[in-house]
Amino acid sequence: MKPFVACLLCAFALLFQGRAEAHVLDEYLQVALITLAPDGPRVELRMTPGVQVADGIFAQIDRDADGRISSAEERAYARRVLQDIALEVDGGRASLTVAAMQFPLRQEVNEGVGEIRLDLAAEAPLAPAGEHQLSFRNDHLPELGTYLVNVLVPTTDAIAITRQQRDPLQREFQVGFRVASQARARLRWTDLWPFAICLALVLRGWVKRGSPPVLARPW
Amino acid sequence: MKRTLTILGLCLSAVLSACWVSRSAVQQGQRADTTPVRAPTVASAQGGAATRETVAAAQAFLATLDDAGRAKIGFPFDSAQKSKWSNFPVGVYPRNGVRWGDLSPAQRDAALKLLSVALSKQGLQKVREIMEGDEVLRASETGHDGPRGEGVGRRGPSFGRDEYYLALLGAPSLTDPWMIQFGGHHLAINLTIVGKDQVLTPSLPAAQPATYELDGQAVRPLGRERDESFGLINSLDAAQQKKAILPYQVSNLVLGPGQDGRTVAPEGIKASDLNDAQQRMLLDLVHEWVGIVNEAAAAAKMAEVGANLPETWFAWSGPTTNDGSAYFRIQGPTLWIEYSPQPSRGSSGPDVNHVHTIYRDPTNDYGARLLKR
Repeated sequence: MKPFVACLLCAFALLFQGRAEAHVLDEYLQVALITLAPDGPRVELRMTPGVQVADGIFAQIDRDADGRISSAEERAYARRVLQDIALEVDGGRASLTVAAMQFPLRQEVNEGVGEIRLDLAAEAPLAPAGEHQLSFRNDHLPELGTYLVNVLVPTTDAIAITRQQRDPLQREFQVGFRVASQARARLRWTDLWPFAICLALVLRGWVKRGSPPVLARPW
Repeated sequence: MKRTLTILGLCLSAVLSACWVSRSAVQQGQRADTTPVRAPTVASAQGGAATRETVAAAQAFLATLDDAGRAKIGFPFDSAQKSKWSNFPVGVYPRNGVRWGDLSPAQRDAALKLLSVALSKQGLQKVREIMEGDEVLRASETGHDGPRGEGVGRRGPSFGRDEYYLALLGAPSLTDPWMIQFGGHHLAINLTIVGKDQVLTPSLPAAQPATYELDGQAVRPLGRERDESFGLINSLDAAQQKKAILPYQVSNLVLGPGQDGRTVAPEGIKASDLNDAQQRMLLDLVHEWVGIVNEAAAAAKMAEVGANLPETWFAWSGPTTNDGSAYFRIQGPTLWIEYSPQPSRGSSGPDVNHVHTIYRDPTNDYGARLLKR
């Protein structure tokens, strides 16, 4: 095997080592994982055409039909997917941008294991404290699509998921969540020790002087 | 003057306290990764003997290999090989390690001995039934040798009992961490061993065909999982089923291969809403995955699962009659199990004869929790 080909295969294997799951045949599996981060929601979209629909999906991406997906074709397809995705926070449309994307090679798509991955982000800080709702809808190629959508458990205690609701096909998803006032939510008595030290120093000064100035000379 | 200084001192102390409290709150709020709902109990296997047996069997197997074989099978414990497993057939997703079909009879016996001490009797049987099922698949029309096989000169899937790979990450040790990785199409066994503790997560037992005949006997590698799950869902009353049954279809594993370290928000019915008999049925169902590993490690894990049972969820999607194709999920602070029927060629929708499952511990995949100790 030529070194270049070997390197290409190695790079490809590394690129797609995370995708090892899909097993659809005549459907276009579209998996969305939503992260509720304090600075805004993120959507990881993993899309895998089944072997029996692979040619049609690949043709929609490879617009010049040269058998490979160029950077321009990647960007164009990502834009198209973005147009088909709707994300709302508290009823207001949250504009998504592509933070990262990965596209498979033709061979992978042919085998039904080619995963297209789009990492999407919205600048919509999840605030203020209180109850909120996020809505997600995926209208990308519904005639072929089969969908999964889930929300990850937040990595911060400040956000708690309170409700989940999906349509029967998992194309629509609503998540209710509560944003806590961080200081109030996390206050512990042990966190008050600086205050206790300051108070002790003030009291010590009063004791040394014989009587608390506040009591000796009321304001 | 004194009064002013006192007021300033009190104000300063209040400001400092507020800053400190706020900083502490932010630090606690930004927890690293996926902390479970409740602090998990530590699954400490009563299994010093199990580890000794496993180490001895691994060393005996290594002794049957030549230098080339040992070079193929060995990887550093912390290498990327850890997460290189899949449900896909070899060819579509290449495996590393020594290939089952390339082992001599003596080497294969030694490898089987290793699997037999690492796994329970029923666990090893499940593994062998999955491999034999793939041999049936190989001979079928979608297999390598069938009319839809890869053909000459094309890269494509390879099926059959020979297409399974065994790898060791780290050196077999009574004290240092190491790992046994065994898998191929529809199978990934990842057993991490840290001292006396043994952890089987993440692992992926799957089956296609899920029912086949061997020597005149019907074989169902994941049959108990299916039967017990239908038993459990049908033991629930209408109100319980309303909580447990998700009003939407689930067409695939949510946290399959490549999704290490993730936790999705739980759904379904909480085990605390089940009666005693139903809770026992749930634990029996969990044991179908936990019990793949040797008895000592399985007992420790089941104790942990039992302690976390009130915080464990059971969710179902699909029909509740045992001739139907249904997805289910069991999720607890230290547990994630999914059972997902998949489409097959020629089937419309999920096929009861093609099933993927996954078994994870979001806090302890690849022994992560043990390694932090």
